Amino acid sequence: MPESDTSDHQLMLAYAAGDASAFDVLYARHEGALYRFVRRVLGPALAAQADEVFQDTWLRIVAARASFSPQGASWRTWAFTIAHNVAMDRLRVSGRELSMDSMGGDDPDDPLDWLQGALDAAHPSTEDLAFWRAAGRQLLACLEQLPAVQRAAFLLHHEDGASVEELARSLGLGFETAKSRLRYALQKLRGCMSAYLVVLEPRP
Amino acid sequence: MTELRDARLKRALDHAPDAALRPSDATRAAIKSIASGANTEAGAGALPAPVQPAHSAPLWQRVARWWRAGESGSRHMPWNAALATVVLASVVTLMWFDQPVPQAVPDEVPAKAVEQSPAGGGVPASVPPPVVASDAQSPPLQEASPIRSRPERADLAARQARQPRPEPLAKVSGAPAETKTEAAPPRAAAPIAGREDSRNAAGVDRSNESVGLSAQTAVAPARSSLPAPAPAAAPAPAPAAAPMPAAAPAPTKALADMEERRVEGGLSAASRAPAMPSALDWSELSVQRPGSPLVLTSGQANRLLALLQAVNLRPAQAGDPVASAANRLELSRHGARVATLDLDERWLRWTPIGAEPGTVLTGRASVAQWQAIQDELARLGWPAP
Repeated sequence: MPESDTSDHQLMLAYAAGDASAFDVLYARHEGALYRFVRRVLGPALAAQADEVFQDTWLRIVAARASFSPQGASWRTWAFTIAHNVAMDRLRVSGRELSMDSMGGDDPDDPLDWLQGALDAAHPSTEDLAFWRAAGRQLLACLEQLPAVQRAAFLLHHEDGASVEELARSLGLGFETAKSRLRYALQKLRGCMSAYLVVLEPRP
Repeated sequence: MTELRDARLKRALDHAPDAALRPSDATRAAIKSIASGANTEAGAGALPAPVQPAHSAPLWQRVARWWRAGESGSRHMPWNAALATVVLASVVTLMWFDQPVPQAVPDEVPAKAVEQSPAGGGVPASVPPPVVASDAQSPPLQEASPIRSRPERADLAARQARQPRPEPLAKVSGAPAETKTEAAPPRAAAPIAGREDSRNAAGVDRSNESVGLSAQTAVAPARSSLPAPAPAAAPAPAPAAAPMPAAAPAPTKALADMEERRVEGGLSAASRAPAMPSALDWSELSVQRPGSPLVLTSGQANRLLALLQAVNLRPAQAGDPVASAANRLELSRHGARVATLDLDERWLRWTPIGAEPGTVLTGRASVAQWQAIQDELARLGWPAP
């Protein structure tokens, strides 16, 4: 029986060797995060397909168990990369990615005004939990407004915790490209979340 | 918080309403089932059980397994489609079992004319080829009409002039047909004058490679004794039997040019003059010259008829010279006389039997036409008039 502190890498190798319980541990450990990631990358418009994409992600993980080789990255980053690719394929099929790219793109001169219309005018709650819940809700709305590639880059970097180098390597991008995607995503999200972030600013 | 990582956004992300979302139980169960199943298969593959080779199983088991595999999926051949294909092929084969194989028929010739030509009673296998350069605009042959229109007759004359000439009766009756058709030097080697002698010296006939001529030579020995041999012995269909101009045995170039001019002259004359009936209207041509009884079928005499038709004829008048009956040709159809043709010193007189007096035609052949007629008569084994 795998120990709870066994690394993801070791669990995957154990599963590839025939230990079915290792997969159960691995799955339970990353089920929520992977599902949220898939759900957020897809956005509300394709939320109904989240389960299907999630299952497809795990099927690919299972199919790749024999050839699993993290090559310097963590299992989590590897799994999130698979989930990202599956979700992006689904977005590409639905045509949603194209429309979002045509709307946003990577133009550095593009102002953040396009997000202003989508801002939630509601004021944040004074209670912390309620505030962060409201902030999270607003962030999901802001993520929905981002181009899919920027949204995926932001989620991989913040939820998976992948570094910019890992992000660039897993997405097959250049370092500067990955970095610029992250920068633009942050700029837009900060503008979109300014009503919440300004409350957190230290007051003089 | 760094330039590219915002802790505030990360915290907001953690507190988002969907943070507690989980996949459905069905999705979870499906994933775990697939994962465990894949591992089980992999385990079986890692430690393969002793698998019996396929040939060790009994034959009936292998056949049953093969049949079940064919039924279960698309990995194997769709046997129902294969069976349907075989059944359809069998039906088509049975439908065409007794049918003749259809042959290529030019568009210009009606299929009816082609089919009726060999068995039309009196038309031998050497029916004129359906496609000739000069008859591209002419209407198709109509066998039912006894008197042809001018374009049709001119077309027929042109085609007959291009056909290989039949063998002289003396040669045909003197040797078997097979022998003559086997060794056949080109006819182009024979000069215009003394052509018969040249062929005799060579000991062979001119080349007539076409099936139609072979059929003619096959019936030739019986022709001298029988008054009206039916051309049924030449059953080859007209398109195959009719030699095309390019493949026909050609005379010398000078002869060909002369004949071409004659035919063209005949065409122009025929377009203005009354016409003699074509070869389709009679089946035998008999020569009543004393001492030289001779009977030719229309197939043998078609070239002669073409040359005669090339002569410009007109309705006979009172002052026209009357040819002697010594050089008279009689045309008959199935034993009944149809018309007579008198030849005398370039004068031709065409007299239909039982026709009105106004239908008698007469005319004078040109020197070239007369020479060609004499050559043809000599080739047929009949002394020139």
